[in-house]
Parts: sequence; structure tokens; C-alpha cells
Amino acid sequence: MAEQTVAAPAVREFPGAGRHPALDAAIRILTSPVGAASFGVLALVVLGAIFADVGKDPYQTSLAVLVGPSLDHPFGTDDLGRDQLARVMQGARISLWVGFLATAGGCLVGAAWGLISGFAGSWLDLVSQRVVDAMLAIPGIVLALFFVSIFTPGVTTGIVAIILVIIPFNARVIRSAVLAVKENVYVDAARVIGAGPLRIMLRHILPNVVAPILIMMSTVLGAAILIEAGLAFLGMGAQEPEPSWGLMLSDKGRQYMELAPWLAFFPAVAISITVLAFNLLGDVVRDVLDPRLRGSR
Amino acid sequence: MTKQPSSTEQQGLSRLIGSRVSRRSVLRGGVIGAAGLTAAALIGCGDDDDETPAPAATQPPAAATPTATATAIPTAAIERTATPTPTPTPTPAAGAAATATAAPEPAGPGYPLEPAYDYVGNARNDGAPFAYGWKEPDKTPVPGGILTYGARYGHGSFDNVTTGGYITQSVNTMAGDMLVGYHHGPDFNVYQMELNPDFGLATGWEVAPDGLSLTFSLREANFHNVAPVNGRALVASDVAQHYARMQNGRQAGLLLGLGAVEAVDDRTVRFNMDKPNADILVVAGNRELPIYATEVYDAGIADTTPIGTGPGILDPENTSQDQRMTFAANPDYWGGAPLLDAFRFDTITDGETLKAAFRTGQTYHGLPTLRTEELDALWGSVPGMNVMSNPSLMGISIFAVNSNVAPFNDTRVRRAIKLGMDVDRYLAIRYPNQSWPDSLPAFGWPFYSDVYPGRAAFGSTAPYDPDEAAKLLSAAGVEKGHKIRHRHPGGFSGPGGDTQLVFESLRELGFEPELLPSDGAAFADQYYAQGFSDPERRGSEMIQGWSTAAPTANGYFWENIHSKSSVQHFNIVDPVIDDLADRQFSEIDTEARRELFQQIMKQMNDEAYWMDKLPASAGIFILRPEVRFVRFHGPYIGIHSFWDWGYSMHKTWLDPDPPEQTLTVDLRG
Repeated sequence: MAEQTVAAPAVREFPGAGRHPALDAAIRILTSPVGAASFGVLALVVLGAIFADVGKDPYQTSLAVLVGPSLDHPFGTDDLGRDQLARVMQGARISLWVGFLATAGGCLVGAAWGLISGFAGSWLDLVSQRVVDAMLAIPGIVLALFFVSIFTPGVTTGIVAIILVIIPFNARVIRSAVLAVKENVYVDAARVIGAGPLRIMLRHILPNVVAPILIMMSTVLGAAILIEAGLAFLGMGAQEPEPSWGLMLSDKGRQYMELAPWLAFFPAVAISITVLAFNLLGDVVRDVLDPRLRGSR
Repeated sequence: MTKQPSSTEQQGLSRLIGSRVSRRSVLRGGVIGAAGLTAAALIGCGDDDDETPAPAATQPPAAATPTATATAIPTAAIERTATPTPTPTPTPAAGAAATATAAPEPAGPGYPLEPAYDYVGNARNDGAPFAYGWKEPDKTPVPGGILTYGARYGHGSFDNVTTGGYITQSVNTMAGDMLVGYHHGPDFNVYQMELNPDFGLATGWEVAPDGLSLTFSLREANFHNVAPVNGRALVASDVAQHYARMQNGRQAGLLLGLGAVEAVDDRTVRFNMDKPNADILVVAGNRELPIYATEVYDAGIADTTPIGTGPGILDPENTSQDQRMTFAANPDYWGGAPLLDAFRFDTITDGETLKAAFRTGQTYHGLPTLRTEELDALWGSVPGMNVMSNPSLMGISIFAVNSNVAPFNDTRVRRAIKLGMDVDRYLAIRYPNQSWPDSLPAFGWPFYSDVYPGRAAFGSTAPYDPDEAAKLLSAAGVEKGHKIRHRHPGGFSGPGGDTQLVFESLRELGFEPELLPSDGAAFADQYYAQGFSDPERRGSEMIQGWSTAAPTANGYFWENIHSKSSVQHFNIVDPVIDDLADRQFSEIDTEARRELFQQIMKQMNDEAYWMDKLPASAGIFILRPEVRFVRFHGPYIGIHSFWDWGYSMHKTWLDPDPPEQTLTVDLRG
């Protein structure tokens, strides 16, 4: 009897199938033209920050006062003869440090707040969301200024102030996500088999709201950098001699706008392209992590 | 009836103030005072604008050269009385020419200083780019108009008993007059400052030979015709009560030694001194002491209603604290009705906005922070703009270490820090072409020297000598990496360039300077309250500060350094200093007093209490071409200067057809 061979049904191959989801997301982000361009710009900024100590000392004064861009000083010098390229690179370090730390802090605290508030519901949700409402009612920069003016202006104070600004936005968004997730049957199932609230939150709900958390992080990073620059511009963030972009723009940049325009130009460009790159990257991340929103802009 | 001092009186007066004092003391005090005021102002504005002239390194500046100046006023303008002598015409001064042409020595080891840029010499020579004044065009004044001034700071209270902000002081001279006046106007020569009975409320004065009484004759003048004073005549009791108030007010330090002020009759006032105060006549012309009617104090309205005898009457309808203040012309002014309808101060705190307002004609003058390089662009916007420079005759920024804590209680350590300060480098970076090619001590040199002493003013701590500094630190056992916590007055804008330059010097010496966070207001609170003088509260080993003493010789040689002074911020407790300071206070012999000044300088330098080897920039001030007669700012002369606008306001007018070319040349035309 002849043996009959039955062909296995054809399996449709999906791009990225079998890859780790994170790797897959990264590849999809980088293969997007906007994502690649944004990543490229940010990579330059990050490299500048990493290698800020390699070139000229951003704090070292020199006799080359208010010298325009040249081979020796590609971004020119300020009124104390300090190399502006070195200062812009050092400023990248401050901006990224503040941006990442404030974003991480704000998003984590906000996520925890939203998670607890959304999961607990009842009076706790009611009270905590009114607090969030109150915080959202105050413009972010005003809230940050209020906080910084109470304490001593500086980078650390600025980070805490920006965290305060970010928290309510994240708390509100994550709470919404939690409200949707907690209605799923697997959450009921977990509860039925005796899982406690903490376990349910951490094992069943949190993993399912990671995507909105990441999207929020990528979105607020640019905003955090912009707030830091704004605080520094207003004299409430980093202080001289720290080469914060915002401070460079407001202090020497404004003072010598006519005499030495490069002092305002380069920090301004650095702020603009960095924030733009983060915002565009945030959009791509959102598209990748939340396919429902893809193309919804 | 005015009185002519007798020859004996003149001699007494001469002894009291001294011929040099009259001529230079004002200058001296001025320099210093202005520096202090500027420093205070700069602290507020967070950045740097300043002042400074620059003589050649080996030549004294024309300003201090006792040539034409000395002979033009043989025994000082103070000796003139009812018959004012003509204003001495500033002469080219051989010293000025010499200064301008002398080949300067290299100012430092290869720094691109331009010591040939002689600020004082330039300002006094034809064709100079910037000067203190210019010859007014021969035109008939046109009445009317409002002159606007862009002020960087608000005016606060008008009560000069309790306040003394620099704008408050300046605007107060619009409303009130001082007892003693100084010559003022376009022909004002800052190097020949002179008390002149034409400009103050006293038409003459007599000084007892022992300096224990001064008698003043008052002119006929009426207060503003405003309730509750309603234009009544000034009488001697107004002056007496004014000084009684001042003796218990913020300016009390100026009047140390003054006992009772007595109204002898309606037109005669007498100062009875408890002990001679060698500066007292100079103080009587201080712009911080304009005389207001007693009624405003009795009614408790002195903070809002300055009613004096001056050319401007405050217009409350067009005045808003910290935003705008307007002085309407006083038609009954004793010097003649003002030509302008009004004079208005608009508060424009931002320097760039101020420049924009100037360019567009919204303000005729302001005090922006300018570098010489910016002038061409401004001239492009405002052809015919006039420029004034105000050379500083002393340093304004003082670093001091806490000499009560180790290792800074060791003189060798303090000297090492001072020797490690590279003045030439600071100068080349901070004020190229805009400052002295030498450092300036925090004591104005005109107090104690006829000629600019240059670096010699710092005595043994003058040179930049890092090797010697290293030896001293080694001998004192100071290890590398010793921390110096520094508190600065920069406030929200951070520390200024001076701090960063000094930090580099400290690092070269092996110290690890650490910048403490500072908030401008908190710093000022602690600084004025002597928080930094209290070892328990100080919390830092080094501070950057400025003088808050009166801009007189006593201010700098007593208040700033005496251990018993309430405005000494630097923890100086030195019996030698105290003794010298006390002795100079009442020393009415000019030469003997100058000798004491020099001894004080030597002790201060030898002990290195102040790290005052920081240059001060010449300020650059701009005036729209329409403005005639008045001069703003100019050299910081301390107790009297171009800041006293009230003297000139009644003759000031706005030219409807201004010259298209700048008039900026020197006074000699």
C-alpha cells in the first residue's frame, strides 16, 4: 500500500516573526525614514554629549574673546573666550541628563499613580484624580517656575520641577489605560483564582499598559528638554558657568545678539533639532507600539 | 545776605577740606562711591557694565596730573563763596598729552592688551572717540517736550531718610536741592570738581579753624507749590530738621561727627561738630541728602511725595512705582523755570529692550551694558548719537576670604591668593580696550595720590607671581585640593565672569573652589545684614562683594574696614587698621590725612584682607542727539557726578533739529 504523504499546510511568514518584540519594534522604528532620521540626529547629540570632554574645555576662559566661527572654534567663542562648540556639546549632556531623568522620574511616578488610581477606583480614584486635575490646571512652565522659585535654582531643582510637570499627564493617561485593561476577563480570572491586588496590578495589568507608558516617555522627552531650556532661559535652571543651552541662549546669546550672533544661533539650533528629533521619534514609537493609532495623525 | 569767608576762615576751610580735597576729594569720593553704586547696580542686573579709564602703564593719567588742574584752582573751589569764580576751563593738560603719546610698557606676558588705548587721554583729547562731554551747538533753546530716561531699576520710596537706591538718589535730586552745590552743566569737568554756591541752597559758608563749626547762608527759594507745603519759602529750620532726620536715618554714616544743626535765623544754619569730620562739607553736597519740606515727614508722605525746592515736581498722575515716574517742570524754581515740560523715568529692566527703546526714540538715554564694539551698530541706527564714557578710578569688585578661619587666618595664605591673581589676563578677557591697562585697588587712588599709582597701589601683593604664591602656601602647610566654598552675588543669572576668572587662578594655586548656590536677594540680605561677617553664619570661605559704605574718604577708610563699622562685610579685625581709620577720620590736615590713607593701604595690602585685584570697566553711555545741555552719568565721582541731574534739568531742552554728526569730542572743543 502506497504511503500517502500529506503536505503540511502552508504557514504564512510574517516579517519579524520569531524575533523578540523589543528588537522587532526597534527594527521597525529604524527602518522608518522619519525614525531613522530622528535617531540619527539624536545619535549625534548623544555622541556629542558623551565626547564633550574630549575636545576643548567648555569652562576654560581664553583670550580669544567673541571670536566668530573658525576652524579653531567652529561655533565661535563667548565673551570670556570659552569655546562655544565645547559648551554646546556640554550643554547636550545637561539637556539629555535632565530630559531623560525627568522623563523617567515623571513617567514612572505618573504611571504608578495612574495604575493605583485606576485599579483601586472608588474614593481613592476620585480624590487622586482631582489632585491630577488641579495640577493639570496649572500651566507646566508656571508650575515649574513656582517650584524652582521656592528652592534654589539649579539643575537638580529643575529636574524635580519637570518631574512635577510630567507626573499628572502620565497619571491621567495610564489611569485610562488601566481602566480599560482591568475589565478584561484574564483579570477576572486572576482574581477568581485568588490573586491579590498587587499581583494583579504588577503581573496582569502593568505589562499591558507598558506600551502607553513608553509612548508617553518618548513624547514628553522633548517637552522636558524644552522646559529645562525654558527654565534656564529664565534664570531658574542651570546657572553659570554651566553651559545649559537655554542659559547660553538667554545670557550671552541675547546680550550679544547683534555683536556675536553665533552665541544665540548654535544653542538655539541645538534645542530646536533635539526637541524636533525627540518629537518625531515619539510619533514613530507610538505608531510602532500602538498600531491602532498608525496613520491617525 | 551772603557771607564771604575771611582769609582765616578760608584757611580753616582749606585745612578742613584741603585744597586737594576740594579738587580731588570729591573726585576720590566720587570714584569710589560710584563704584559701589555701580557694583550694587550690577549685582542687580546680574551682569557687567562698569566703568574705567586707562592711562599708559608708566604715565599717570591726565586726570590726576597736578598740572593745569592744580593751578587752575589754587585753593580749591570750596573756598569760593558768594562770588562764584568762573568755571575753570579745562586745559589740555600737559599730562594728558604725555599720557596720550607715551609708549606704554607691555602690560603682561604676551597678552593682547592694548595699553596704548588710553581712556583718560583719549577722552581729553580732540578727536577722541568717547569723552565725558562735548561742546553744545550754538542754538537758541526750544522750550517744551518730555525727556525720557530708560532706567534699569525702579525708584522705590522717595524717602531719603530710609532709602538709598541709586535711582532713588538720582531722581531725588530732581525734586530737592542739596545744601551745598557742585558746578554742573555741559562744561562740567570731572577732574575739576568744585563746590559752587550757584548750584546749591547755600550761597556761602564759613568754617571754624578747628573744624568744629560750619555756618551756611541760605538763598531765597520756595518749596514746590504742592499741598501740604503750598510753595512756602525755605527757612533755616527746614535744613536743621532735615539733618536731624538724616542723622537718624540710612545716611547717618555720612554724618559721623556731626552734633546738632542749629537754625541761627531764617537764612543761617550752623553745623556744630562733636569732632571734626574731614568730609563734612563734601557730604553736604551729597546727592543722597536733598532737602525736603518738613511737612512731608510730619504728614508721613515722604515715601511718595518728595516736595523740595528742585526743578521737578513729581506728577502723581503719571507715576507708578517701579514702572514710571514723571517730574513736571517747577515754574517757580529758583534757578529759572525749566525749559522741558517734564522729565520722565521709564523702568526698562532688560538691557536689550533698553537698547531697542533708545534706537526707536522711546527713550533718550539709558544705562545699557555696552561694549565699545557695539557702538558702530548703534551709530548706524541713531546717527548723531553722543557717547559718554565714565572711567572708574577704583576697582569695584572685591573678593575676600574669611580671615577668621584656617588656613585663611594665615597672612601667607591670603597673600598667596592675591599674588596668584593674574590681573593682566583678567583685563584682556573682560575689558579689552575698555579699562585701565592696570589693576585698580578698591580704595580710590585719588584719595591718597596725585597721580595714578598703577600696580604700585597694591604694594607687595601687586605682581602676579604664582611661584612665590606656591612657596607661601607650602610654608603655610596648605595642601593641594583645599576647598574654598565661594558665595557670589550673581543671583539667578549665576556668578559673573570675575568669579570664573578668579576660580581659574585659585585652581592654578591648587585650591578647589566650589561655587555655592546663590540667590541674589538672599545674598543681599545676608551681605547687608553682615551674615558673612559672622563666622557662625557665613558658611563659606570666600565671598565676592562690594562696598556699601558712603562714597567719601571716611566711607572707604573707616566704614569699609573698621572693626566697629556696621557696614564692614569682610571680617577685618585689625587693631592697626582700626587705629589708622580712627585717626584719619578727624585729621583735618590734608597731607597728614593722605599719609594715613597710604598707611591704611599698606596695611591692607600687606595683610591681604581684600583680593581686590580685579579691573573695572569704563562704562559707555549713549545719549540721543536731540538732548541738549544735560549730561548723564559720566565718570563715577562718587558723592557728586553726572548722576546729579537735578542741577541741569532746568536748562535742558530737546533739539527739534539735532546735529547729524556726533558731537562727542572732549570738553575743550
